[in-house]
Order: sequence, then C-alpha cells, then structure tokens
Amino acid sequence: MMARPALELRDTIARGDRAAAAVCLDTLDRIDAAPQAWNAFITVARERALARAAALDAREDTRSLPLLGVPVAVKDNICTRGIRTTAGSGLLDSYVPPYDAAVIERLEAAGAVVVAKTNCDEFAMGSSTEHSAFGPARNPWDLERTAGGSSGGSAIAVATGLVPLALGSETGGSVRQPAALCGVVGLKPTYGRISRYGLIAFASSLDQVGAFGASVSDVAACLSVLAGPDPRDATSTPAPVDDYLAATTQEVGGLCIGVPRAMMADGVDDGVRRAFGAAVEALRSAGAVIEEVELPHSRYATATYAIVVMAEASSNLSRFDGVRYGTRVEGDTLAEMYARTRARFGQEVKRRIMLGTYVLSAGYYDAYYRKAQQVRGLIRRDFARAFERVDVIATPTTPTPAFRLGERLQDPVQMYLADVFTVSANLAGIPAISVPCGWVEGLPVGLQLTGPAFGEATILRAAAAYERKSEGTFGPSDPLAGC
Amino acid sequence: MSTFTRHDVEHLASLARVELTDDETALFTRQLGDILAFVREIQAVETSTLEATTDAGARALGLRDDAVQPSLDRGEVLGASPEADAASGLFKVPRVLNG
Repeated sequence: MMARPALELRDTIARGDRAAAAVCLDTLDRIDAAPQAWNAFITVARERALARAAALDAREDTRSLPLLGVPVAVKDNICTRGIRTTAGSGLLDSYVPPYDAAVIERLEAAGAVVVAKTNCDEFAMGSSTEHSAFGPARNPWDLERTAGGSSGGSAIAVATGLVPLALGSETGGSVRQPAALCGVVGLKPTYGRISRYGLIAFASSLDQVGAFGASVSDVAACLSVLAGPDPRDATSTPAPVDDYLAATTQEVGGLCIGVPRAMMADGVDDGVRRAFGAAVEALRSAGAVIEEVELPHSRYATATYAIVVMAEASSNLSRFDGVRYGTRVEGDTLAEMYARTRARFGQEVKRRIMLGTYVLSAGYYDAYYRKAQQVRGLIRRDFARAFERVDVIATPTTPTPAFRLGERLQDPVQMYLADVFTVSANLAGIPAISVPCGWVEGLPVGLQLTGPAFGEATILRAAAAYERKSEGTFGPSDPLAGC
Repeated sequence: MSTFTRHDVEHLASLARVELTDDETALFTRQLGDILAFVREIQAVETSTLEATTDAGARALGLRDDAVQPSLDRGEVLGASPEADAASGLFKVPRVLNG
C-alpha cells in the first residue's frame, strides 16, 4: 500500500499512540530547525497551533475526525484569525485578520492543526515565489532553482516532510506547478468546489483553493474536508461532494485518457517529454485506454489568461488603498496617500495592475478584455468536446523542470510561459491534479491529469492508480538527499 | 498602440493610483509593450460570432434570503486599519475637501 503520511499520522493519534500536542510540538521544532535557505514560511503559528493541539487532546469525541491532529501549513494569502496574513506583500506585512477563512474553519473542524503560513508570490502573482516581499523560496532539491509558485512555500513544506498537508491557491497553476517542481501531489479543484471566503482575491473568475500532499490519498482526504457550499462565497456550489478517498482505491481500467499531442510540439524539455511518455505508458499498462485529443485553442491560453488576470487583479487590488487594512504611507491629499501606499506593491503586482487598467480602458477593452473572454469560451468548448470522448486528459504539468532563480525575473513573458500547461484548467473552471512522474537531472517533474467539472473523483482515481503503478520506479525519495 | 512611451506608463500609473520610481517607469516602458505584444496573439482568433465568457461556469449558490446575518465585530475590523476612530466607528483618511 502506498504511504499516506497524513492519514497514517491521523490514525496514530486516533489510536492514542501519540498525542496531537506531541506531534504539533515535533512539527514546530522541525520547522524551526529547517534550513533558512528554503524560506518556506513567513509566519509560524506556534502558540495557536499548540493551543489547538492541546484542546484536541483534551476532548473525548475526536476519534472520528478525518484529519485529527494533522499539522497543516497554509499559504499566506488565506486569512487566519489572530495570525498575521501578508499574501507575500510588504503592504500587508502587519495585517492580522479578524476572521478565519472558510477553509481554515473546515480544516480545524476536521481536527487539523494550522502550524504555519507559507511563503508565496505577492498576492499569488508569479510562478517562482521570487515576487515575495519576504524573499524568494528555494527548491529543496537544488537551492539555486525555484520551488515554483505562487504557492512555493506550501510545496516545499510538504516536499521536505515538515508537514504532510498544505493549502495553496490556484489562479493559473499556483498549486500544480510548484507541486510538480518540488515533487509532491497538488490539486486544483473545480471552480466553486471550495469556498473562497477569506482567500485574498487576485482574479475572481479563476481563483480557487487547492491542496498539497505527499500522496494522492492524503490530498483526497483533504479535499473531502474542504469541499462543499458556503453561503459566504456565492460562487461556491451545492454540487454533491463525492467520496474522494474511496475513488483513490479504484483501478484505472475502463478509463479513457486523452493526450493532446499537438501541445507537446514546442518548448517542452526532452527529459520532461520522456518522463511524460513513460507515465502515459504506465497508465496504459495499468488498464487505461489512451486516445489522442485536440485542444486547438490551448495555444492561446497563456495570452488569454494574462489578459483576464491582469484585468481582474487591477480591479481586486483597488481595495489596498491604505484605508481599511495594511500599511498606509501618508500623503498631503487622499490621492497622494493612495499612490504612495500603493508604491509599496512589488514590481510584478504593479505591472499587472497597470496592464489590467490598460486592457479595461475605453478604446482597448474590446481588443483585449472582451476578446480574451471570447477566446476563453473557445478554450472551455474545446475541453467540453474532448470530455465527450475521454474521461481524463493527460499532459506534463510544466514544460521544464525547475528553472534557475533570477533566470526569468527580467522577462515576464518567459515567466508566464512556465504555466503554459496549467492555465487552461483555470480558464475552463475544471479540476486538475499534478502527481510526481519522475526526475530529470535530479529535479522532479509532474504528470497533470485534468477532468471535467466536478470530476475530482475521476482524476484522483487515475492519479492514485498511476501512483501505485509507478511506485518505486523512480527515485530519489528523500528530499534531504540533495542537500 | 504598439509600444508604450514613458508618458503612457506615467498616465497608467496615475489612473491606477500607483507611484512609480524613475527606474520602474523606465523598466515598465520596455516591459509593458513586450507583454502586450505577446498577448496580442489572441487577436488572430476568429470570434465575431461569440459571446464573451464572463464566468468560470460554476453552478453558483444563487441568492440568499435578504435577512440580517452575523458579521464581523466592528471594533476588530477597525482595529486592522492603519488609522481609525474606534469610538465613532469610522476609518480615517486625509482631508478631501478644503475650507
């Protein structure tokens, strides 16, 4: 049976073999002792975590809690009551939310213990965790390379075994891409599957909370806890929540998996191509039927995505004006106070706000924003047609393994192209998962499996079957071995 | 507009209420044009008969009843502000009108 560290830890605590407080203390101590270079965390919630764990130990009725005592790290754009929440921004470096995000409430109700807030690109804008006001995160397999982003800190926290589960957020691949580059499992659910109440908004028609784990089963268990409607997020949906954990025990036989070969034409690293090819063969030998599919508008996805996110970001981030939260930089007039306060945004945020302002302005709206919305419809239609023929679509998660820190900082377009395989699922609002599928020159790479809306159970089933089939066929497995 | 001038960047920054350093203005004058040139590739797609897609296709919850719900504590919300008058329940901002 595959290792499933979160669920195994939960069972250990439920049996009474270890106290939640002991597990929590051990986790906090290991976080404190972790190499500074990883820079995975912005804030450690030591007191809140220990109090939560002790409270769990004091209760009698916790044995059935699905994540009892499981330590979880949370991306720092998810609000935590009483715990600083920065979104990786200098503008929010002292912001302490007066409320918990819905996903925090759900995690805690399930017995999980939030131990730390993780490093991320500012307001989740980036693909390398280099656009963080708290310094770049580093890939634990090669400290000169990116951990991916924007949820890089959460990916590192799981990849290094500091926590068995972590939350991230997705707008265009910010969970799946760092999961692939750090060698862990990362899931982006269907738009509307998880409440976003308390997730600091970036691009509202795309944003979704996602989860990292060391195994598909752990991620499935986490999704079961997070999924479901919430009246505080009108985009969350009452669609039935499937038994995701049960889905991970099913075999892949009978599933039809589509491969869009045309997407592999350019810009995909040879090693990634080989690892992906081997993964597809593994799925075939596990019983899946492999078919070729076409997603003809995918080649426009990155550009379409860029326009949509910039427009929505420019609108969403207008709330950071130095009035209601965060830092204020004084000015003689209200307008001057706004501009000086917002001067504290990092460069990537400024770029997106300004281009968003541009594409929404009179005279350019039709050529950019409206056009992007129309192409978005075509991208979604491509998927709908493909899913009439296949159950799951497989691609690499990223075109290359982790790139070097600094390599793409001066060229925003190259940075955006790191997400070429992931942005389509966000534009179409559909679920996708990245599962480790091998190593290229000592760096992990990921297999992405995408499903139709609310098809989480199907992609979890295929991912878990692949995980079993590939178990032990590629190493290394110890993240500290590379240090 | 095919390229951005320094003036264009300054105008956008002013619309977006973002103060830029001279270095940032110079950097963005180059980069914003590059990004725009990249995203312009979608203009090759034929879309004349298509509606705009404004959502991600979610089956949303719909509207809730128009009833008073519990909300955050006013004092705590004001406490997260850089400048507020808790007693009167107001956020404070610099003077807008003179006189």
